[in-house]
Amino acid sequence: MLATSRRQQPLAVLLASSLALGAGFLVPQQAQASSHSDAPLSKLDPQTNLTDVYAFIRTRPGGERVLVCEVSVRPFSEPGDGVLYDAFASDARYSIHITNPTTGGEIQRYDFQFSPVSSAAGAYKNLDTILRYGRGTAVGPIQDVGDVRQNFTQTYSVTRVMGSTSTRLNSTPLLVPPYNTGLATPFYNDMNGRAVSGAVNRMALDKYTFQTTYDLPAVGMGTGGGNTVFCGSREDGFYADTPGIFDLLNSRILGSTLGQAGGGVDGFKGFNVLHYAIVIPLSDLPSLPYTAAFSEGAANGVGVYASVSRPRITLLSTSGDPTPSGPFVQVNRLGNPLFNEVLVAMRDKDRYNRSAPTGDASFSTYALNPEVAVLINAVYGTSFATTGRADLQAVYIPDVIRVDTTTGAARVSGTAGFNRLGFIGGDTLTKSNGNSIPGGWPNGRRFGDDVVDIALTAVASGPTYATVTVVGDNIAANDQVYNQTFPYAATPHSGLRNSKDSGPNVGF
Amino acid sequence: MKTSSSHAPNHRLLVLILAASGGAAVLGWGLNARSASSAARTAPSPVALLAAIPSPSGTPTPTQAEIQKWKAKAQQSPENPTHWLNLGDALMQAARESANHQYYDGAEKAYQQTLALAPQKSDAMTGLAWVSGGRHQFPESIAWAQKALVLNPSDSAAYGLIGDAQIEQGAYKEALVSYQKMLDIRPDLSSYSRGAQVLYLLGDTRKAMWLMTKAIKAGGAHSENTAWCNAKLAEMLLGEGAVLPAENLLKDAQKVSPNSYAVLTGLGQLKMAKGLYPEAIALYEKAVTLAPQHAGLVALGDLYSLTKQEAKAEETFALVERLHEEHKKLGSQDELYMARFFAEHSHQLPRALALAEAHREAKNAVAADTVAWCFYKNDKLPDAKAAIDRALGAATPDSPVLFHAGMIYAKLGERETAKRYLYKALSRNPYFRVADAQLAAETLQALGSTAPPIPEGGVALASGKSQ
Repeated sequence: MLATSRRQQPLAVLLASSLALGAGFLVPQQAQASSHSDAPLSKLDPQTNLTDVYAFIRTRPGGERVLVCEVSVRPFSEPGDGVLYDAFASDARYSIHITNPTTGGEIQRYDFQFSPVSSAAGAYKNLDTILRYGRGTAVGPIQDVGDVRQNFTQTYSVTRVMGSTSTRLNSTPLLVPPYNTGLATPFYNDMNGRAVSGAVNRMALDKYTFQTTYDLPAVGMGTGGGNTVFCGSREDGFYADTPGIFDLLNSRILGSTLGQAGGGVDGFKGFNVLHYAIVIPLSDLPSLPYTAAFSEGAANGVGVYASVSRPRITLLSTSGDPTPSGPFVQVNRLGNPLFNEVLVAMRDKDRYNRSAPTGDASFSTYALNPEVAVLINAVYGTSFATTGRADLQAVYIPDVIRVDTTTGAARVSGTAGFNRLGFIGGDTLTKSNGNSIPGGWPNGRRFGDDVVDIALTAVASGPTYATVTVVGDNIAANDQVYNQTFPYAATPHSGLRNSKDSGPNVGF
Repeated sequence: MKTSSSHAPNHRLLVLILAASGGAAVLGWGLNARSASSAARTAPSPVALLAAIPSPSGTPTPTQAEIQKWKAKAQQSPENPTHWLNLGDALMQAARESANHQYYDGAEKAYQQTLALAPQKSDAMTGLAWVSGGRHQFPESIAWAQKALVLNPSDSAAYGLIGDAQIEQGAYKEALVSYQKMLDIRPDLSSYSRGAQVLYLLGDTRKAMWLMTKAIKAGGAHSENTAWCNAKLAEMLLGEGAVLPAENLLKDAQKVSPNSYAVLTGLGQLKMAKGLYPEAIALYEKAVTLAPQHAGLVALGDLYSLTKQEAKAEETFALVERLHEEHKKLGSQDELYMARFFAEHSHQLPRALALAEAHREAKNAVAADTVAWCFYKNDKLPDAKAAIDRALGAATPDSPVLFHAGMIYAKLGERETAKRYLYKALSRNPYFRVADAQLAAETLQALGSTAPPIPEGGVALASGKSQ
């Protein structure tokens, strides 16, 4: 049995529940649903279900400016899953695309591919145990990633693709650290058994993350250093009251005239995701002109989005293990937060996932005429602009996260000057032409950017922004502290001790 | 304290504060609400009473004109209780506008005179509840409001004042009920804004802001009331780091109420958040000159410190202490403000400890937070933890509470919990108090700068059971 199958629901049931609610923008949801689950088909394929893309400018300790790209996939990974735990699909290709910021056209791409998970093909040291972690050829807590006590170790490779040229960036397989099971993975956790996070430099990372953060040698490209990569389990850095948001009539998010009844509930509290991430020196990237949202004058930079592809044909071998074959077909993609989840209507969600950003003009209507504004107005009697939303179009079409690469390093969560509301909170950066640009999303996206509050506030305040009406979900922080160093995503929650949602986001 | 003659705002302040105490001391008004009935019996003659009620100087505001009007009417026909009642209300409004506690005495006298003339005049009882609340005498405030309600069950203001006192005592749920009654009787600026305040304290920031917007739209009898609501809404917005909307709001409010100290301090807070210290100083100087009020004075002193004007900072902080000495003489029990001031400035820590001990069981979130910080600064960590846990339990979305929790847990050695609280404080509002926000970020850095210690349980398991 696949470890994830118990969370799946038949498509028909999902569609039925959506019809019952009678609101087109609601994604089919289970009780514990996610804005992450952005389309009916991908919801049924969690290992390829992309949840969040982060992209922001940072500076390496030596002063080199870099673009950090991190992607979360596999929402609601249960820290205490037991038995098999989540792993990357070996028959899928996980990609980070660098694009022209205006057209969305791909310029270069970084592909991550993983080793098999199945007992027949996977790297297991011992098939006569029920444990993935804590017993390989020896029993006990894992001291180093891939040691004798780590029964299963997934590995991966990274390839840079530019047009028809593919360049493998690693010479030996790179290791995925163990899942944070608890006592078997002691270096993730503190004395109380809770995950340790919030490292401000590489040396302060937990041992497993440290050992699997790889500085790869420079291969071709610009004059800078090489890429740094990490793949593995992480705490889900997205925080939002999605249970409330997607229950349209729930006054927890939007009571009469935007009031709320009670505090928000972080629907992602206590859950992990899988994560793939790369640091790209800016000397490896083009800097192309574009028009940035909420910024005067020209901007220069790139677009970023993520996708997952599977081979067109999956043949089942006689042993029952999947065997990938044929060219890759995109099954999921993700750029800006909340686009496919909240703006794109049901009919087009799967089409969005199959298409490339260059064709996103066909989705323009969803940004220009946001149904979410129509719904809020209808239910709560507000008068938010429902048409002519060029402001939203500028952010979302094409759906790549635009990052100005002429600025200094973005402030990261937990440091002075960082504001989760980005430009609404006065957190801006300066472009090379001297004008300011948002310090976080929609100029890039950082860990801790409160994209729900920023997006809802934009929906309520645009297109003129004469009055800025703050709308949000009453969740103002993640449940775990992000790292201030790569990988910026926080240490995964422990399977043994973690706290789930429920109640105001204050206690732990 | 150095001479303040070279610093016009401080000099003016000192005069204001001393004037406040002078009026009371000379006339020997030491009475408080508790002795109201005996006060009514032994009250001075109406003529002496009116002479003792200070006549405001300077440019007359509408409220000051009201005071003069009712003083004149009371003089004309001192037997008319309504004149005394209106005089009391005008004096209380002046107290609101100026943050000057000297008005409480006059108002109290006027209300007592009303009751002496008309013992069943419930509005005067509500007035005395208002005076007691202003002096932080909360049980007395509730008692007077309840007396008023016996006579007039639909006295919405009485329910409001009971709710105010309940909030201060940390009885949030009870306050919700009181305010609901007030809202049911009379939906207006007073009831909306109070509802907004309690919702905010309960962590419901979004609805709180919505309700405060309704209060602003409803408008009030005095422009100060609307200005105050605008400033409160801006404070809520700033409390979650939303600088742009707060700025829009305050700029609009300033056009309508250029001399509202609440709007001026709000703008000062905003400039401080943006790091524009000289502009913030100018705003706070104007605000505290108009109304020598605790929070404004403390912020101004902090700004002087941040801009290395130590002498001015010292003078301003001395004025804070002076202000509270005078308040104490006037019967106000706002000593926890002082406790917080001492703890935040690492000044007079034994006094801070004594005050924390006296308020050890405080249930109000801000009060419990203050008590926690006083204990922390005096190295009483278990006491600090007990108090901060109580403050956190109220769910007030307040970055200072989260910051204090982070620092207390850090000192207790609970590193991960400490980091989470400090991170949350900064995530909610990175501008909560400049020095503290900086300390939060630095502590977060320090806690995250070394690899996590190796857990003993794991190592023991490794050496004991591995094969």
